[in-house]
Amino acid sequence: MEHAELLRVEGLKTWFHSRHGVAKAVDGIDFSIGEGEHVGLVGESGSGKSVTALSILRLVRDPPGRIVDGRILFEGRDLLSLSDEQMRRIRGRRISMVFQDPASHLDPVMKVGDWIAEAVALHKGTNRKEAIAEAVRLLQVLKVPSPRDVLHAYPFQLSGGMCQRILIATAIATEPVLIIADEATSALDVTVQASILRTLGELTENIGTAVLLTTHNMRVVRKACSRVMVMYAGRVVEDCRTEHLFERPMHPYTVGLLNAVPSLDRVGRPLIPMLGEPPLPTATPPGCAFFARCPIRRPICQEKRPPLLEVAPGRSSACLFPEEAGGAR
Amino acid sequence: MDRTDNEPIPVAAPTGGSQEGGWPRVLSGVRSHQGIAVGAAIVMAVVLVALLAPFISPYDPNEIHPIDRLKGIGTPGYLLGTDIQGRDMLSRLAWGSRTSLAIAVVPLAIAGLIGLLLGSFGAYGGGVSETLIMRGMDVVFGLPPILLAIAVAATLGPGLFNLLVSLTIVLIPPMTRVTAQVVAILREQTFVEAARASGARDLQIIFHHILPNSVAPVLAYATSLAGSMVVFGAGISFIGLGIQPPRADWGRMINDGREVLDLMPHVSTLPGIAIVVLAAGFNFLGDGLRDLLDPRMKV
Repeated sequence: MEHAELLRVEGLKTWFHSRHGVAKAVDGIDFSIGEGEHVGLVGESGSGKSVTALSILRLVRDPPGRIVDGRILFEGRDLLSLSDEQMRRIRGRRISMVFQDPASHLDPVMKVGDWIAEAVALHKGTNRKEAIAEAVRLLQVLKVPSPRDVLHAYPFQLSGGMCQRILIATAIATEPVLIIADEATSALDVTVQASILRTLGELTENIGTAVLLTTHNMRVVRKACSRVMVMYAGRVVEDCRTEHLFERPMHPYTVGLLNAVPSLDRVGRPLIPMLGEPPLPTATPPGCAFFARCPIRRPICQEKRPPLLEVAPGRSSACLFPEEAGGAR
Repeated sequence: MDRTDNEPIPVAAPTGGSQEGGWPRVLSGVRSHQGIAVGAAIVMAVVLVALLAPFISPYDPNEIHPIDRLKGIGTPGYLLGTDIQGRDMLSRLAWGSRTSLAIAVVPLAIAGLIGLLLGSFGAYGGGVSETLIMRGMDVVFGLPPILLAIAVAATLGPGLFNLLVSLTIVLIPPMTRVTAQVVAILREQTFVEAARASGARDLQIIFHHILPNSVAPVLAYATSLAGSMVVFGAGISFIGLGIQPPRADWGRMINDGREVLDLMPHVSTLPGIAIVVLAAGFNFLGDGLRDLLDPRMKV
């Protein structure tokens, strides 16, 4: 792809230690994001999307979680080798995060204007007044009506969509080079979702910010991302341009995901639910994690975990038989 | 201090809401607001009396009238009678409200501040500092509070200042502990994570997010302790370790009337009633505030 590389994650493993054993939430994930690129990270609940997102910012709570292995190269530096203070300077300034469930990610007893201003003041060294002015400007860009009134409100007085705009304004205020949006639109209804995605897209386009959008919603990915990575049981199983994924998925799990959601491409055809359950994160079998649910499984799949390999120009799949995965749709 | 260790402290955290709906919940809501109103009215009334003591007292509280000793309630000139030295009860009660209020408020305010800081730093930081602070508090917490207060007051010597110091020391462990419990819930809240994700420093998170969010529940808890503090302070003065004569104090006044309890019970009973009323007022207020802040009680 034409983008210069911004973030490269290599063999990242984030494990959670619990009484029931070690839960390998992220188990050797590899991917990269280019400058200004909008990438989707898709997977069902528990596939490790959020843990991946939190791991990049080193926000996984330790204990119980711990990044046990891997490298996170960002602008040429391994984030895992930085001191806490160096990492803090990257958070919010170079990499921002937007969360799911926006209302609970704002301080309930703080006016949202102060919340934005605090982040602006922290990274730009401006005083409160300038920071508030900047917050007003950002909300205008986000097409928030009467931004000054909104800034004087407390989170409980605002709608979920408005809270999410506040979080996005906070994330964008410092003009970071990467925004990680963790299920950023999942708690919102569809119309608000669309408007949030549109403004997020426009804003990041303007300042050339890359976006990593984790979601379980295929429609969101299709709308907002140029490239998509499908995650299953702690690893990326497919990685390609969005349109290719929807045209011709090359991993049986992706096929299953696409068959299970309604789409205008396949009106009149029944939805096919995926059989079985994902493996428990505490029990990782030696072979392919998708083996038990796979419609095209062969005995060889059980021997070794298939690596994520380039199977066609610009697209990778972690299936030994990518051509048979789903065929043309 | 009637709160047990394991009882969760209500914080303004989102919860699923109580299973019990309908009338019981509505009634409890109304009751808690009534409690706040009644409690606030009583406390405000006492505060007013304390402020206006110089104006509403017919006599100097320490003025002795040797001829009018041990007059009963309603004696002309002495609305609430006189004590064994012929001092006007009404004047002494009015002036005594000042020390009782000071005993209820000052130690709680100081211990509350110290507790907020110790508790939030301990609980937010976690690890060794949390263990050191909290286990240290547990040692003090393990002693019966009234005995601890008496021991400290006896060591420091009598007097209002030393009484306030001893009650502050007694209050620091529960206030720290309650703050730590609140903060332990708050630090897991997602907005703290969001603040960390936007690059906020730990100190900034503690002072801008953790402390403002813990003030309300801690304040409610402190108010519910104020009633016990009134009783504690009066008790310590009663046994002679607190306020010293001739200064007017309710606990001291009960002691003054002890010898004539069979003949002239009003000398001990009136300050006793005053203590009960003020303590009840603080308890109503504290319970009401706690219910109000408890998300499970929200209608």
